[in-house]
Amino acid sequence: MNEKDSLPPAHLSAVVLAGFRASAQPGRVRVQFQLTIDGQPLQPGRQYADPFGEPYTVERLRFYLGHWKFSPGRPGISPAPPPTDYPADPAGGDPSGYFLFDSQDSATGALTLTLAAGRYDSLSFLLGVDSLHNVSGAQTGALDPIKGMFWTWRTGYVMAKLEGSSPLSKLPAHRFEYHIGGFEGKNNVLRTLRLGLPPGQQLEVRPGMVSGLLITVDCNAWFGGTLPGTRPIHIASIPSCTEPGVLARQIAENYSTMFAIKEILPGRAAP
Amino acid sequence: MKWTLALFLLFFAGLGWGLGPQAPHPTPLPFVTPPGWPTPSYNFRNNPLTKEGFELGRKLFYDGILSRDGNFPCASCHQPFAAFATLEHPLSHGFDNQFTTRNAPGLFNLAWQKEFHWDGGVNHLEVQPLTPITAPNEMAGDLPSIIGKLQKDSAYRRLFREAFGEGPVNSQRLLKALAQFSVSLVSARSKYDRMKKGELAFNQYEQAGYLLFQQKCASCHREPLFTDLSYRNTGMSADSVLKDKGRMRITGRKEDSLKFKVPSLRNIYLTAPYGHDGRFPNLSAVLDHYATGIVQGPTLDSLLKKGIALSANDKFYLISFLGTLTDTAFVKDPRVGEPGR
Repeated sequence: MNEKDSLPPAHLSAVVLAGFRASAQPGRVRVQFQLTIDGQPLQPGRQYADPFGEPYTVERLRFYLGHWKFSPGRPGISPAPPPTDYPADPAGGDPSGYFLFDSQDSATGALTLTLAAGRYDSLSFLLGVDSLHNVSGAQTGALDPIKGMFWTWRTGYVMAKLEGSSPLSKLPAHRFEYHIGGFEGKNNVLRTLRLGLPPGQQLEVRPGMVSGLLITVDCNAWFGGTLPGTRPIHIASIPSCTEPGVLARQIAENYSTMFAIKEILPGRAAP
Repeated sequence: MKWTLALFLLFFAGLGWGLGPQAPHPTPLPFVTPPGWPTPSYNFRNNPLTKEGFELGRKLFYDGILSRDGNFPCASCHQPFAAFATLEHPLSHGFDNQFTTRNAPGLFNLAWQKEFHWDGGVNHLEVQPLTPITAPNEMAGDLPSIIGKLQKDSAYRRLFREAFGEGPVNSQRLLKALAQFSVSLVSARSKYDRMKKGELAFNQYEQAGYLLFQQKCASCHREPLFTDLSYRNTGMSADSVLKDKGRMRITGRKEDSLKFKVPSLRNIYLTAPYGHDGRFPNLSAVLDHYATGIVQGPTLDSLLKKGIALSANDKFYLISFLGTLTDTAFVKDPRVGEPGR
């Protein structure tokens, strides 16, 4: 038995980890969002048709994202950092760790994440605000209730909302409003979504560089009915959903299908 | 030599004092749990009590700046002399001559509550003020304009900085300051409390009432908070206008229809009228309800199926006992009253 074999496993892994850490300089990735309908970029104010042919206009879409994890590409090709929780870092770091997309605020069209250098072929994130942040009192940053995504009558965040108008809506001014929340029990609407890069492609994250990723957000997904597990939501019969419950959970199932990675954008040198 | 050193140190201590507003070091404020009481539910670690934070919360509580037209501070419905309930109002009055939809509860011993409102819909003390501040029939404010008003006010900017350090006036700091004030409202100096400590004795009526209370009321109005913080249907039919289903609105469960939080009985002489909609004008009406007025229904509390048998004397003794829960030292405590009064 030589001396090498007698190294305790813990010691060995410490050496490996130390070596790994030294090589894992972080890089950054800028994730950009693009609203679409039927694969085309959404034009504000224009009337579209939902999957059932109902005409509608989007006024506002908002959603919370957090708990980003990037999974490495195939082993052997690249350094393989383990999937890690990367807090959203829009505009130099949000104290809440969350990112709020707001279609009416162009400053929220993208977020930047700092993560270990390497090659990645998939990512995941939480769509919504985790239960802990719904029960821990006053929050700030993206979770500040001033953002209009907080229920006061029944504590909890609105995880996502879609508002607009449709001539078929029976509500005043033909509006429709879906405010989706609920963080506990069987009608919990929190969803962790996993998105793969286009086949054969990997996102390369390098120190000193900001890589880019374009994610499309399909508004029509909210109405469901085209993919298995979704429920058709007709604006004519269901123009609103404003509290947690079965309907909210079903709409959450619908909108959980709205994201797709469209392409890797050209990287640029970090500022 | 020693004197020189002492003077030298004093000089610098004085300098440090003078630097206070620039480099604030808020003074820690202890929270005292009355002997024998449970551990508070409020997590002080995320919002350590300080003199400056408490005083800021106190000022905000009494300031109309948190309401749309300036007329409705928190204290307009939570009056200190009524143990922070609304004196003699079944429903309180809010913005533009509107009524609230439920009776304003007294505010005290909130540190031991995990859920707020009659239906328990609010899960944390810090976010509770958002409801009355933004409700159109209460303070009718909106958060962006309130934060804007506070940010423009140089006195508030200074007070926020002294309480929480550098950084913006934001809703989190506003809510934490309000929580520091409201969580400090501890009522534990009533005649009952002094009797428990052996400082004085009940008279014979109070003592008889206490024994009755322990037999007939204490399973829900559990000592020392005088509530078990549960939700129960106490046999009150829904008001035909309000149609309030209570806890069911929050849980969506039929089993919770007409259930409301068991209110504390502390300071009950000061918080009339009673019931979630203030329908009982006085304590006699409440006891009459339990004795003969219970409305049967599928969610009626199992302890109330037959009502509570109470003779005329029982009611008199019980009401005598309930008077021992009045905490005058608390409601007249200048530390929680309106600043500058």
